[in-house]
Order: sequence, then C-alpha cells, then structure tokens
Amino acid sequence: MPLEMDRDRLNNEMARLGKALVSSFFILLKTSVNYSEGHAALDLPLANVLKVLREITRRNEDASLRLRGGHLYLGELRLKPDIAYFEAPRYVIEEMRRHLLGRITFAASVTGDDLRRFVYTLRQVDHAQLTDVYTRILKGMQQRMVANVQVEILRDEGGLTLAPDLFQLKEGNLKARPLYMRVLAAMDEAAAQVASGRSLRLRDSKRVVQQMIDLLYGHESDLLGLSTMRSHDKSSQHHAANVCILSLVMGKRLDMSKFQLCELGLAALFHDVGYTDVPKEILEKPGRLSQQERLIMENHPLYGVKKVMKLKGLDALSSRIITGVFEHHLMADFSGYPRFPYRRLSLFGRIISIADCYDGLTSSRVSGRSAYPPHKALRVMLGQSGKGYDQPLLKLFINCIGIHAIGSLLLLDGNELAVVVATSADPTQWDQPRVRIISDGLGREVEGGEVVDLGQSGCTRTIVATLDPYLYDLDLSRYFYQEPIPSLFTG
Amino acid sequence: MMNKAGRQPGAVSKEELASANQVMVAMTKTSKALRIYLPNNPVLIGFVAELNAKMTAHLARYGEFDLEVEPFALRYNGCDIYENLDAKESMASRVYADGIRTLIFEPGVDARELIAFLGIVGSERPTSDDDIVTQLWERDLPHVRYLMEEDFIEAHLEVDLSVPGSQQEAISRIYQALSEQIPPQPRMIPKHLLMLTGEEEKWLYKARQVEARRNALDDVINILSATLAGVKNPEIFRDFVGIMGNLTTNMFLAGEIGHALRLIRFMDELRKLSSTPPGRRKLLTDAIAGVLSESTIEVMQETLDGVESVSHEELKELLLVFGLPCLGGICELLGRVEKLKMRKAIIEVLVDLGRDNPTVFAPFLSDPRWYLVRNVVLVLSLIGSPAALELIVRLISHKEARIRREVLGFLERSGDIKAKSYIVKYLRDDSGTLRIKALQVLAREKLPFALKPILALTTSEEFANKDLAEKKAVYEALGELGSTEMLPMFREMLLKKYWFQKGAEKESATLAVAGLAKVRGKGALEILEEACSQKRSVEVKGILEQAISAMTAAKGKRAG
Repeated sequence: MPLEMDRDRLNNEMARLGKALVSSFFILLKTSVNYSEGHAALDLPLANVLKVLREITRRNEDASLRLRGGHLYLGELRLKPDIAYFEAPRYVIEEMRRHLLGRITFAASVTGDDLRRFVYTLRQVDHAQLTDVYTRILKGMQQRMVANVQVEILRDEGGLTLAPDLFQLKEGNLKARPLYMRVLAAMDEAAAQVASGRSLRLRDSKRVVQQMIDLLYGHESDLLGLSTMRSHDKSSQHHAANVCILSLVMGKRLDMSKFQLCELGLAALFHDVGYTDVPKEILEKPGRLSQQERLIMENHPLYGVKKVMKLKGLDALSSRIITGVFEHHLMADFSGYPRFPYRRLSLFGRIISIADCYDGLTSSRVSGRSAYPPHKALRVMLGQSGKGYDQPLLKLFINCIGIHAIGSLLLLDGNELAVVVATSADPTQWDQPRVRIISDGLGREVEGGEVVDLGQSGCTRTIVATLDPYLYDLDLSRYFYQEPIPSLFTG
Repeated sequence: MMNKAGRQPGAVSKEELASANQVMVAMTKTSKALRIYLPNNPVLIGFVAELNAKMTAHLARYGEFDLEVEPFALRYNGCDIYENLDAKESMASRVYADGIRTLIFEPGVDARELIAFLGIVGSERPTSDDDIVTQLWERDLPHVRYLMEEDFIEAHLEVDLSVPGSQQEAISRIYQALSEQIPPQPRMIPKHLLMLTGEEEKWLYKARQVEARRNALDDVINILSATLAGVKNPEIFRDFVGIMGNLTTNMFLAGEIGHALRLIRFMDELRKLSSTPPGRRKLLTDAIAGVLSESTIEVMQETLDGVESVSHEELKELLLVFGLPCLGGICELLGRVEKLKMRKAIIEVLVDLGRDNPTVFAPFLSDPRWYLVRNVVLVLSLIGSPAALELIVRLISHKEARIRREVLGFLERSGDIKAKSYIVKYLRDDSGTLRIKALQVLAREKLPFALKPILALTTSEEFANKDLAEKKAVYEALGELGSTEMLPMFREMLLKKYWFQKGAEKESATLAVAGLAKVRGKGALEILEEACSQKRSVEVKGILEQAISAMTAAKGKRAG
C-alpha cells in the first residue's frame, strides 16, 4: 500500500508539472509568434519553461513532450486537459502536428538559448511545403546549433511518415464518414427493434458511440463536420447522430471521462426514441400542429422513457439514457415539457437540450419552418441564454462549434465562397475559422479547394457575409471529405 | 507491401519469431490459469510474471508486438504462433468474431493490462451486450490497441468513392442572388460576451462534479414519480404505474430494499391523495399488491434474515403499505423469516391489519401449508378478540398437531373463560402430548367445569391403555380440581386388595399418590399413612412412604 501511495503521489506531482510545462511552452510559442527572436518579451516565458524542466529533471523523470493518439504525454504520463486548461494543450498539439513532431525531448542541461533557438526554428519553417516540414526542422536545428533538444517525427500506426493533410485524412476522414454511416445503421436497427415491439438492444449503438469518442480525441472537427449532414426525412436518424456528436463534443470540452462520454453519447443518440410511438401522420404533418397533436408530440419523452425501461435490467447506463430522454425538452428554467413536478435537471439533460435545439433549428425537421443557417440558430439560442439554456453551457457550445459555426457558408472579400470546416487553431481567434474554398472569385466551383486558416497571421482574406446554404439547396457536408492527393505519401 | 515495421511479411528473424512464440505460449498459459486459479494463487502469479517478463523483453528488443487475427489463429508477421480450432476455447475465434483484425501491444504494457486483456478475451462473455470490443474499450488499456475489420474495409472503400456530383448549379444560384443583393455584414456576437467568465468556469466545474456524483437510479425514480404525479393521460398513467411496479419488484429482487421502500411509499402516498381518482387508486393498489410475489418474498426473507439492511420500523411501514391485499404474502413471509426481530415486526403488522376484522384471516385457516396456518393462529391469538377466538377454535380439530398445539397455547393464554372452556375438547385429542398439556392447563387454572369430564376419562374404556404419564396427569388434575372431594376415591384406590396383580396395584398406588399430592389438607396424609400401614408390598410401601415424606416436608415448609 505505501508503494502505491508513493506512486500515486509521484504521478500527481508529474501531472502537475506536465500541465505546467505545456502551459509555459504554450505561452512561449505564442510569444514567439508576436516578437522577434531577440526580444526581451521572451525572457520570462523562457525562464518559466526552464524552471519547470528543471523541476522535472530534478526528479529524474523524462522531460519530454510526446504526442500520441491526439493526447499529450509527459514521458509516459498522459496529460489530461480540463475546462480551464484546454487552450494550451490544444495549441501545443496543433503546433506539434503541423510540424510533424511526435516527441520533443529536453535534456537536463537545456538552456534558455537552446529553447529560444528551437522555438524560432519552428517559426522559420515554411508550412506550405508539406513534403519536408520535418526535414527542414532538423536542418534548421542543426544550423542554429540547437543543443539539448531532440525531436522525433510524428508516426501513424503503420510507422509511415505522413504529410499533415494526409495524416488528417487517414486518421480522421477515412474513419469519420463510415463511422457516421454506422451510427445511422445502428439507429435504424434500433428503430426497427422498437417499432416491432422488441426491447432495445444497446450493443451496436454502444460500440459506435465508443468509436466516435475515440475519434473525438484528435478529430473533433471531422466529427463536427459530419453533424452538418442533414436529411429532410423526419424518420431518418441523422438528427440522433448529430445530437450525439454535438453532445459528445461538449462533454469532451467539459473533460468528462470516456465512460461518462459513452453514457452521454448514448443518451443523446436515443433522446428522441419516443417518437416511434407518435403517429406518423402527426410526425410528418407539413403544417402547424393542432393543440391535441402538439400534446401528443410533447408526450414523446415519456414514450421514450417507456422504451428504455424495457431494457433488460436497469443499470447506470440505461438510467442515464432515461434521464436524457426525459429531460431534453425541459429547458434550464423548466419552461419546457413535460410539465411535471420535476426540478432536477441533470448536466446530460442540459447538454442534450442545447445540441437538440441547435440541430433542430439548423435542419428542416420542424414542421412549418425552414432550416436556419448556423449563425441565425445561434442567435436564437443566445436569446434564451440564462433562461431556456444555461449561459455557461451555451457559451461552451459556441466555443466548440465556433462563432462561425462549422458548416457555415461564408462569402469572402475576394468574392469566393467558403465553408467553415474547423474552428481556428488559435482558440483566441474565434471569429476567424478555418474554411475550405468552394468557389473562386468568378463563381466557378472549385474541386478539392484549399483549406485556409483565416486567423493565421499573413492571411489576408476576410469574411464579408454569412449565407444561408439551405436557400440554395447546397450540400455542405461533402466539403469536409475531399480525396487525398496520393503523391503526398512519403516513406 | 510493407508491414508496420517496414519489413516484408515473413521477413522476420528466427530469434524474433522465437521470442514472439514464447510470448504467445506464456499468454496462452496465463489465460488458462486465469480461468482456473484464484488471483492470489502462486501458480497464476508465476505465469503472469513470466508473461510480463517475456512481453517486456520482446517489446524492448523489437518494438510493438502485433498480432494479425484470423478465425482460429493468431499470426505474427505472417507466421502462425497460435492456433485453436475449438470455437468455444479459441482466443482467436472470440476476438475474430467481434470484428478485431489486429491486436497491438505497445512498449509500456504492464502485467495489469495483460491480465485485464486476457480476462476479457479468454473467458465467456457474461452478457451479449458486453462484447470484447466494448469491454476492452471500457477497460481503457493504454498499451493495448486493436484495429477492427471496418477500419480496413471502409478505409479502402472511402478511397475508392467517386467524387460526388457538381454543385455548380447551386453555387450559381448563390451568385445570382448575391448580384441582386449582397447580404448585410453579419452581426457578430462580441467575443467578450462569449468568453467564459471565472464564475461560469466554476459553474461548469461544479456542474460536472455534481453530475459525477448523481445516483442514476435516484434520477429514474424521480422521473417516474414526477410522471405519475403530473401526467393527465390515463393510458400513460397506467403504463407508468406498471413500470413503477416492475421496478419495485426488481429492486426487491436485487436486495435494494431502501429503493423499493421509496417507490412503494410514493405509490401509497399518491393513492391516498384525495385528488387521486378511484380508477388510478385501484391501479396503484394493484401495482403495490403485485410486488409481493413468490420470488419477492423469497428474496425479502434472505434480506431480512441476513445483515440488517432494513430496520424494524421500515419493514413495518413497508408491510403496512402492502396491506390487506397482500395478507397472504405477508403471512407467507412470516412463515419463512427466522430472525426474531423481523418476525416480531411482521406479526405486529398482521395484528394491526386484522385487529378490526379478524375474519380477513379466515381464508388462510384452511391453507394446506401448516406453518402458514400456525402463524395465522398466532396472530389471531394476539388479536385476542371474540371474533378472533371464534376463528381459532375452529382449528381445535385440525389434522395438524402443530396447529392444534398453537390453538391450545392461545386458549391457555387467553383470559376469556369461554376460551378456556374449549380446552376440555383436548381431553379427547389424538395427540397424547396435547392431552397431557390440556390436563395440566385445566388443573393449573383450576377450572371447575373440567372436573366432570376428567373424571369421566377414568371410567372410559380406552383409559386403561393410556400410558402412565397421561394417567398421572389425569389423577393430578383430579386432585387439583376435586381436592378433598376426591379423597374417598383415592383411599379406595390405595386400600383395594389386588390378588396376584402386583403391576396393577403398583399403578393404582402411583396414581392415587399423584392425585393425593395435589390435595391440600391433612386428609391426604392420613390416607397415605393408613394405606402404608396396611400394604404388604414392599414396592407399594416404598411409594407410599416416599409420598408421606414429601408431603410432610412440604407441610413443614409451608408452616415454616
């Protein structure tokens, strides 16, 4: 027992130092963007990084930052970010990815000058030359005589070295879309089970949710891009899948554990399972619903609870699903439905409520209304901030999808059309997302358009207008999955 | 095609393959041992240590330990290192069936992870919802990864997908609209309004903490309760009553008496509300009654006789809620529970339930289960009212002696003279033990009406065949009840001449002495002395002298 306690204490200590290293390294990297190499503004960030490194090496521990599977590690210890601490790791991860760095090892004798030269080697590398980023870094380190800092290349599972885009695609895109299809298939199967009177089985759904969670770590934008997929058919499972994705993204940002995320994902996936008991003629009615019809629709959370209660045995997982199913229309101020004496809204219920509303507003599922573009949907929801929706959670949600939400259609100042495919790599650049150019300034569709980070220094493009893609029947989801260029393969 | 280490398949050195084989052998041994031995078994511990050592050494030398999964085999760099064609036993077949095609063990894997991994893949799955992939995911083994079939097939298909059709038309429509009117600049939400304040970060942190501490079952109970309390639709109400009833039963079966009590309490409170319509009240009553089934009773008995998980008060409350509709179940429970404290609670409840109208127990008095009937008699005896007495005395002639004994016990304890009068019926009972007990009770209670029937016994045909103990009890009772009135009879018994009937003489003397011992006054002693002086039989004289001596001593004690 004492040995375990010592080990736990050491792990806690190293976790703290790891966080401190990432934070201080983040500040150093950010400062290096704004100041030249010799500027005094770098003195303090350099000193802070050195201080932490000394602490680590004093304990005879491995002072290396490693990127693997979308996580940062201090040596072998995985560093978990939390709400107040996601900017720094996210930025560092992106920097390492962009430079194809799998590992940065700081020797015990590393100096401030070593660190300075290393950081400005990274600055110096031209990111546009995708094929030789890593080689250029090595050369740059050699030229600048960076001692006491070693780097290793970022490897995929196959041990091959990959260019960033292809890496992204291989890791993310190649998994994301088929996974989304599997989610839809699993939900179709579940709907069929329920419709035929059989009990719900969670096995397949659990598996796809777990896979989504795995993909979430490192390919969040790809999953969010999938959530832009829509169907006008109310019986389709796109809505369930999208609410699941949006909820998971929020849950991850809240630093929920994998198991909690699994519960949240399943609760979100099945939140509308009760609709299977709503008569089809009401569900698919094109116009306004009568009061009676509205009442029946508003019973769907109860129908859903009934369905889930039929599961074999009530356990923590099914209980959480029931909570999500019941609560998702209650609203944070309990102004929603069902209107029962119930005043204990769970975090799951609040999260799913936000995700459900956003996806509902941005699709044409709601009868008598056409889909809102993302920015309008967010405005509508912000109007309910602090009332129907918890303000902190709503802000968190917007943080996740961006002010120009993923899937937004933008008009740029060069008369180009662009689709938001990811939030900016720099979390402080919320209003400057990463976009894919889909048409040039002359209005011609662009195949495999480039992805531009509007927030990156040196980028001159600006946003002129936000457009409503649904008015023009434009399918945005395809722009998240452009085919790789095979010649980018190296190794 | 290159494999992960950048080598052609099969291009692996003999040493590496040998090392991989050793790891696999160790894995197989450990997997089997996990199923046979307890965790602290030295054999298992040794296997685990060996596996860990071999794996660590292999990883240190060769990097990852990757296995390609085939239906019945595991391959290392294209070479079979494990094969088992028995689908039930084969690790490979289990893993393959779940869709895993590659297993990857990375440097840093430790014994804990290996044991966890083998525990999952090496044993039968407990439920169909917990497949290997799910279990591996949930165990979160950082150095054990896997690739699924879909990772390969779909990746391949994705690359082969043709480019989706052009959207030039839609794009042109956009530009057409833009040429007519450029939409206004989007009203941007000021960034500072979207940045989380310190308070809001704290709120989120706290919300997460609270969520982690939530009891999911409590939430479900709250949801069901709120629904029943608030729903207007009668069909939905009925459905949810059924759900709550089922959940309550399941809580009992799971030993969660606290939660079960909470649910029952809620249903009881709801049905007692004046605003609850009769139809709903009946549904709730039926649901509550439906909870106390055979299986629930069995589990309740185990819980109540086990470690104290429910208090006396809670049990009483629970049973009172079950109430009269569940009378049979509660009686059944009483028959099974052994713990005195719990039995006491159950009995108290039954007494409360039947006090005003004991006839509710009437149907159970003809139940074929004797222990149930006996318990009901016990309860009726505690109620003690005339109506209860009326029910009890019907069982005086019950075929089960244990029940008749219970009834006799009640009659004995009863203060009602009418109840006592029924004890006389036991003088003709089939059980000698009960007959003797009845005689003793009648004598002790000095019930005068019993004298004649007891006297009649001595002249009955079957009396001669009774055993000595019973005969003694008869004469003791006669002595107790008849007192000096019996002296002439006892004298006659003692002085009677028996020619060559030593046994009969002795018995007669014994019985008379027994009777005289219960008679107060000097007459009894005189008769004994008279008989003693006349009797020649040594045995009989001995009996008489002993009785005289005892009587004298008792007299002296009383005088002292």
